[in-house]
Amino acid sequence: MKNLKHYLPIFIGCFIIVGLIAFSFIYTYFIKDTLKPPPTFLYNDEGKMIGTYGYPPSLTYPFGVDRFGRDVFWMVVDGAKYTIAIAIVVAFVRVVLGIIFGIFYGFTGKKFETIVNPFINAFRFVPAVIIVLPIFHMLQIGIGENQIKTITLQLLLLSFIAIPILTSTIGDEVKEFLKSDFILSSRVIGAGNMWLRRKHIFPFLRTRILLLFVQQTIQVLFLLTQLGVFRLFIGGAVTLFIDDGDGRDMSKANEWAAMIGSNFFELSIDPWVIVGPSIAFIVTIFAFNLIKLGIERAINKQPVPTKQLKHDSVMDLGSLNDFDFVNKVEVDEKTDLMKEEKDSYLLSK
Amino acid sequence: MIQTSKLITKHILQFLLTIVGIGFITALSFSLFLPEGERLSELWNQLQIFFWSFFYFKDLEVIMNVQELIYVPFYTVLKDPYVYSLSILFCAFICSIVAALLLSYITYMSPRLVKKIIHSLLFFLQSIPDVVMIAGLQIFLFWIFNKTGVMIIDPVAGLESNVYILPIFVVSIIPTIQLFQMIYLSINEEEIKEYVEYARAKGLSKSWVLIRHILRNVTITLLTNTKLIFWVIISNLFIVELLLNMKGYFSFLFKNTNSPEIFFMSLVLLFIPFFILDVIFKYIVNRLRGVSESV
Repeated sequence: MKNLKHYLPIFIGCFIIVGLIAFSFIYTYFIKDTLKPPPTFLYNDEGKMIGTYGYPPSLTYPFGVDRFGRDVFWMVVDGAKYTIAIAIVVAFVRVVLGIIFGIFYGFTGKKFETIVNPFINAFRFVPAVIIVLPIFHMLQIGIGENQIKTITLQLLLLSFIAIPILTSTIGDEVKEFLKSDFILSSRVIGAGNMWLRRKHIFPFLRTRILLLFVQQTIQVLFLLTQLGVFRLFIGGAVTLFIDDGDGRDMSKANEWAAMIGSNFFELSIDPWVIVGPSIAFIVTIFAFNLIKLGIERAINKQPVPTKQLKHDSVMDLGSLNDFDFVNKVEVDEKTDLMKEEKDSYLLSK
Repeated sequence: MIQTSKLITKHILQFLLTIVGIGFITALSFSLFLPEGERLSELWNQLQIFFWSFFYFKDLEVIMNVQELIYVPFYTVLKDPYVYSLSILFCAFICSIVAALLLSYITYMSPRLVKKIIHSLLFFLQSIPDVVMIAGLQIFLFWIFNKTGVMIIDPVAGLESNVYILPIFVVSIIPTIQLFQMIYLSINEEEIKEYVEYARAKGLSKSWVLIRHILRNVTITLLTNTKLIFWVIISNLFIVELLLNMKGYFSFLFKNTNSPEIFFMSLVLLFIPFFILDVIFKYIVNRLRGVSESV
């Protein structure tokens, strides 16, 4: 139970994320049908009309209502599952491919590195948004014919964009790891590359996978906000019309980044349309950051319990004569104690 | 002599290969969604065009007006926005370094409670995407304008004027946070080393040790991580230019997403100063470390 405080960030972070997704699903399946659309006109107590669509935040509409008469709060809730799912799926593909390539890249020689590194440098230098931009434009044209295919392509693109950098970072770590003494000795005994990958490198990377995954999720969320600004929405756009006939592209899926991006020029008129999804983004990224912090702590603090064991075994030696065995009497007691402690440690883990 | 010439060759080779890399990425992104069978040939075509556009640099043209098909030479159009954006980029870079150093100095000198507060504040700030940060700033400025009628900084640039202060400020927020974390982490690593303890034992003050001894070692960490900072600054400015309606390099890039060779040339032009800086920083790092660069 001592470790509870230590894992608190992970718990809180997971709670927020899972809560958001669950709430979003509950909304679609249970709450959605019971909600009435916001009234077209707002009246004050005297029965005078005070306004139409584009209501500022109030108690009934926590994030306000946008110009098309849609409640921003429920839009944000609806979009939660899509946004988080996109981030998690893309991050997952990135990490899996990055680790597979990284493990192989780690074994390549210096010649290969000098040729490949500049290519990867190009990716390090050109921001991901710029690379994605022309491709997404092309995709946007062909959208509508085959939506599932387009979404898959978009997600794959978002994944592939990060793989060169990820590969080289993981590969460099693997290279550093391969310099350890025990790798050399196992090579001397006759281990092949495949064996090393399976028995040494994969276990070494395994502790890092979760951390990488969370980091990548955060990065994807950042990238999504940037793409939203350029009106490049995942899942395609729907054009909504206001009465004066000027159309506006909106994301079909109420995805947060798209909500921010497509409403950006409303900033001076009714800013709450942006504030809602922004708050949602900040909360989500904050939750992922908390998880990241928790994982980092857990990785750094792993060896602590064994140290404590050692510390406990130092005893008062005043009553012993010279050449006595130190643990002669307490040996049995001690093993029991250690067993208990080990159990409690395993349990709390 | 042989060492230096080898080094120069190495850098030039790297430079050329990176440009090839950029070309490859751009060509790929433009030819990826063509019908099957045309892709490879188009990719090859694009690469050839990119190669030759270096030799016919003066003849590259940009469409200014789509309806009337007016073409303007590339380098005349790009020059002003390029200089403007680059000056913002470098100002932001310097600002964020200075701010991060100051911040870490203050944090280092302050009591534990303040340290904790600064840390949790930064942890929260890390979770705010740049887009949201810019939007928030703009809303804040509008709010001030509505309340007091004072326009502190014009949040949307005029068509003619070039704004500097707001974009530099906005662009340097996120790099400052990242730099601060980097610097502070390496200060903490240095702090427990023996030379610091020795210097403190001799009676040197805390800030003297920090400035004279620790910072020198921290500079190495700082300079080796500049590439990441550049990346962050570039992608931030890209967004900021669009949102603030600035007439900079990146909005030019955004307008020309359908002409590959212009896109490529602009990226290469952006790459050159950063590459030079990178080489210089590497040189400084090696001097500080006292190692000669391996070939």
